[in-house]
Amino acid sequence: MKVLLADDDRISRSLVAGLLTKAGYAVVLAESGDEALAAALAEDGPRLLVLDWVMPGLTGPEVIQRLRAQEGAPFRYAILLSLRHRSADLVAGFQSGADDYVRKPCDPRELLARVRVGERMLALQDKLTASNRALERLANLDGLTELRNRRSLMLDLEGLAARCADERRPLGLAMLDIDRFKRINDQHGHPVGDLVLRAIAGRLLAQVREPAIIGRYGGEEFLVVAPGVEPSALEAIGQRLLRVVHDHPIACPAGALAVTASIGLSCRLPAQALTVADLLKQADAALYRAKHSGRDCVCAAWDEAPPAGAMGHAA
Amino acid sequence: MFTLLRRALCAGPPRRAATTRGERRVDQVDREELLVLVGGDREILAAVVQAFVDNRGLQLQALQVAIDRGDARAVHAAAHTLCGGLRSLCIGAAAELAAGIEAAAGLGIVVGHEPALAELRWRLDAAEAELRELVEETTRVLAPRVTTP
Repeated sequence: MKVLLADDDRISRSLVAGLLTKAGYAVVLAESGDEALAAALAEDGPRLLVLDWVMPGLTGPEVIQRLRAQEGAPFRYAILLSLRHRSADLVAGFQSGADDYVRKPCDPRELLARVRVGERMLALQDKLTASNRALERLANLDGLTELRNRRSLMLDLEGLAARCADERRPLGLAMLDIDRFKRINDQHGHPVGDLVLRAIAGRLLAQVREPAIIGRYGGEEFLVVAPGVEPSALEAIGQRLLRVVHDHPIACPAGALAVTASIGLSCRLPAQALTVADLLKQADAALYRAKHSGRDCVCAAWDEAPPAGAMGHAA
Repeated sequence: MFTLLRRALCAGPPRRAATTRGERRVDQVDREELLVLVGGDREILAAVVQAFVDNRGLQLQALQVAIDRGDARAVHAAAHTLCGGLRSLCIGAAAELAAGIEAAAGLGIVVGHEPALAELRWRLDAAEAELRELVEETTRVLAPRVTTP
C-alpha cells in the first residue's frame, strides 16, 4: 500500500520512511505541504497520509482541510506528526480533519500500529463504498432487464426535463410496449416471456446513445427519454426502435419467436409549458393509438391521424 | 536483532568518562533510545545519521541567517525543523537548545541567541562523532559471520 510521508526535516523523513518501507509500505515522499497536497491529489495518489504539522507552505492540518474540502474526493486517512504535545494541539489537529495523531519522535511500534489502523480503515471504507455502489445499483436497476427501473427512470427524466427547460431545448419521449406479450407468456410460459423482455431490452439499449436514456417503465413497457431531440428526429428514432424489435425473431427454446412492439411519441418544444406528467400522458395516448392502429407501428402525440406506417396487425 | 544490538552497544559502563565541560555532558546521543526509534535496523540508522551529517550544516546556517536578519518567523521555523530532527536522533540536550530558540522566536525574540547557537554547534559536532561511531559499531555487530567451508 502507498503511504504519503510529508516532512520538511530530512532526518525525521529518513527515519519514518525507513520504518514504513521496512514494514512493506510504498512510501511517497514530500518535503512541503504543497508537495504533499499535489501528491495526494495525483491520479492514483496515496490515500494513507502521514503529515508533519509544521512544514514550509501549507501545514499538515491545512493539507488535510484542503483534501477534505474536495467534493467527491475518495476517503483518505490522515495521521498528523508533531512535536506539539499539548492537549490543545491534539484537539486542533483532530479538528482540522486528522484521523490520528502521533507525537514526534515516533516510537516505531506505535507509528506502525497507527498506520495499520489507517490501512484497516481504508479497507473498511473501500468495502463500504463497494457495498453502497452495489446497493445503489440494485435500487436503480430493473433486476430482469438491467435497465433503469421505473423509480430511477422517473428521477432521471425529471432531471433531464429541468435541464432541457433551462437550456431551452426540446425533450422527446418514446414509449414502447411489446405487442401481445400476455399471449407470449400464456403460450410459451413466463421464462420465455422473461427471455423476450431481456432480449428486447438489450436491443433497445444498443440503440440509445447519451444523453438519451432508457428504462423499463412497466411490465412490458419501455421508455426512451431523448433530450434535445426534435419531433422529426424522434420519429426516426421510433422507427429504428420498431425495426430492431421486429426485424429479427428472438431465439427461444421452442424456436424463433417473432415479436413486435408499438410506440407512442411525445415531445416538448422549448416554447411549450408541458410537465413531465403531461408528456408521459401524451406518449401513453399515442401508444394507445398505435395499438389501435394495428400494432407494430409508431404514433406521435403531435399527429392525431392514424400513422402512415401502421401495418394493421390484428389485435 | 534489536536485543543483540542493544546488548552489544548499550550495555556496560559508559563509553566515555562522564566528564563535564561546564554544564555540558559529553554524551550527546541517547544510543539506546535511538536504536529503539530506528526499530533496531542498521540501514535505517545509517540513513538517518547520513541525513543528519548532510543537513546539519545547512540547518545551522539557515538558523544563523534568520537570526542575523532578525526574522523571528524564519528563526522559529528553522529552530523547529532543527529541533524535530535532533529529537528524532535522540540528541536531547541539543534539541532542547533548539526548542529554546524556537520558543523565544515564537515570542518575537531574535537577539541573544548567539551563546545557544555556539553551544548547539559544539554539541552537534560531538553528536556527529558519536553517531558515526554508533553506525560503525552497529555495522560491525551485525556483519555476517565468515564461515569456513
